Amino acid sequence: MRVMLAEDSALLREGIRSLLTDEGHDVVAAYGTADELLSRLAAERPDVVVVDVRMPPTHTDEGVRAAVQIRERWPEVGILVLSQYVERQFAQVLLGDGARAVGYLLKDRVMGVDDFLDALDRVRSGGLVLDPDAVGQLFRDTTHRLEMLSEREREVLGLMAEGRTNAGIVRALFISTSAVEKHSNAIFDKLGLLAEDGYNRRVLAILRWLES
Amino acid sequence: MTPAPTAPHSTPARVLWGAALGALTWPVDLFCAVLALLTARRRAPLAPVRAVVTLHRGRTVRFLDWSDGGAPVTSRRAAAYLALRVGMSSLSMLVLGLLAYGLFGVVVSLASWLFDVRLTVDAAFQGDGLSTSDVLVLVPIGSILLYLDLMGLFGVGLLDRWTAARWLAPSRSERLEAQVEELTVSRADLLSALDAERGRIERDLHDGVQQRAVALGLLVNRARRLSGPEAAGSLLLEQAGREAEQLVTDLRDVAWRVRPTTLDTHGLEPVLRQLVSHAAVPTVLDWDVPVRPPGEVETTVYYVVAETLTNVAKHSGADGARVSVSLDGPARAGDDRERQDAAVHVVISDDGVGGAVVRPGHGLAGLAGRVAAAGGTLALTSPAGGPTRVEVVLPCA
Repeated sequence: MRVMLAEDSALLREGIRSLLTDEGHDVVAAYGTADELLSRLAAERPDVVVVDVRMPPTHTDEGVRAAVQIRERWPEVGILVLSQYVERQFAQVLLGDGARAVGYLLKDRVMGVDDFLDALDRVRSGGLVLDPDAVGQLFRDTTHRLEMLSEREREVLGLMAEGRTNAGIVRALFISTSAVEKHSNAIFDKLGLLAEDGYNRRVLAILRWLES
Repeated sequence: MTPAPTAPHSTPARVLWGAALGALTWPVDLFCAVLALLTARRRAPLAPVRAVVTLHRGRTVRFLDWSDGGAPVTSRRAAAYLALRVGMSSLSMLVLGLLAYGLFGVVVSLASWLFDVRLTVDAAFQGDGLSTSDVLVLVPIGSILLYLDLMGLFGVGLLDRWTAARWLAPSRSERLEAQVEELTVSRADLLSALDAERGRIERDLHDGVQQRAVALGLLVNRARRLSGPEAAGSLLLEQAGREAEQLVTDLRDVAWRVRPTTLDTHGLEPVLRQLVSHAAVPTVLDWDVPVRPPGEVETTVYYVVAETLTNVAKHSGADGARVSVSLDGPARAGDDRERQDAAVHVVISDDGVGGAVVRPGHGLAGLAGRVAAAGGTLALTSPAGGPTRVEVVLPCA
């Protein structure tokens, strides 16, 4: 596949480039900043980009912001974001509602070669990849909140996690649409999520799956 | 507060010059003293009064070895000082007058004596010229008089300095206030410098060491893939790969402890969640801060919670702890103008054995200092038998 890189550490940039080349991928370009990547993206049209989160100039969240831009302007390009730490907010931004072909991985996974290459393949084929550590952390954060849900709310959450729409939940539980809305609002409240902050249903699904 | 100008080291000659210069301003002093006395009821002295006081301050610092404390001059102080100055400049004029008279005497005597010995006498100068024996008598007397006069001038200089110190120096309470202010500022500066330094160390770790460690792990694992599982040494390579991964994990933990970068990107809450979830003693976090406090407050709260949880793990023997962070005051409404009245309220409690005390040089004392530098308060209650409760209030000014 055609890959573009943005990673500010030259050493690691070269390491990833050689690894991908060994694997027979075509690394069309590797840059040290997100801006350079964005400016060349339209011309190169890679299948996948790999971006580091912290890059010059501010060393905070350049990579995530670039990823959000790429997702808006070139939805066909897969994005794999590498992060030093698991940050839930980044996971939420990247894997928000309607996300596809996006991955959020700890940087360490690059070393594990196989995980990294596998994530790259999954992102390229439109899948979502969330680092196991991030899943664990999201799970830890949410697990004690799940205990606060009523029986009915748990059922609704389970159906949501299966990816059903509100109408689907209405049909499954034989309750009114307004009741479903009431339950889902209560769920979002208790889980400390804003209904409109685009919290990823798939992440919820993962939580459900871990819980069961 | 401006730092006091440093006086050049004073020599007797300097003091003499200073006192002599002080005589020259006599008319100005007199005029301004009258002006100052007439306007002593005003809060601030008039411009000419202030100018002449400033002039004398400079002179006293420069020549008379006085350290100016930079105290503001009130009308009353200016009037008192200038009134004394008039006396002072009159004195120095008197002393200088005597000196001039003495010098005139010296010139005349010398002329007469030299004239008598070295030159032919003119008819107009019929008086006895000074003989050498007269000169031998006059020289010690003249020297003593000169010495006394110079001592007088020196004394006037000292008096001058005393006057400035009495009326222009800050009072004891003003001095203490200024000192406290200075110390508070320097402590806050020190802390922010420390935090900035921690940020730099974290950046260095992240940009240099951590990347290198990841690159190393990547190399090892690529080597493994290329050589295949049957190759000699593949077991060693596998171990090396695991070590590299461990190294990266350790480095990440260290960097996070130095300064959690999440603080900059997402603020306090996620950082505290992480702290709490990694705490050795099971800990619950109650978070109720609807608006983001200023960065330095966030940093302070982070270190308070981190340090306190470390203490809990080390000394308390507690089974559980609770961290509550809330926002008091009008900022809850999200009104930015009211922000300076808001305060972040942190309570960390545990059900351990208690008996914690703030000992100088120990963690809690350092925390108390950090909190005080940020303008906040730290209260500790820890009776023997527990529970221990640390309460910190930090203004969001």
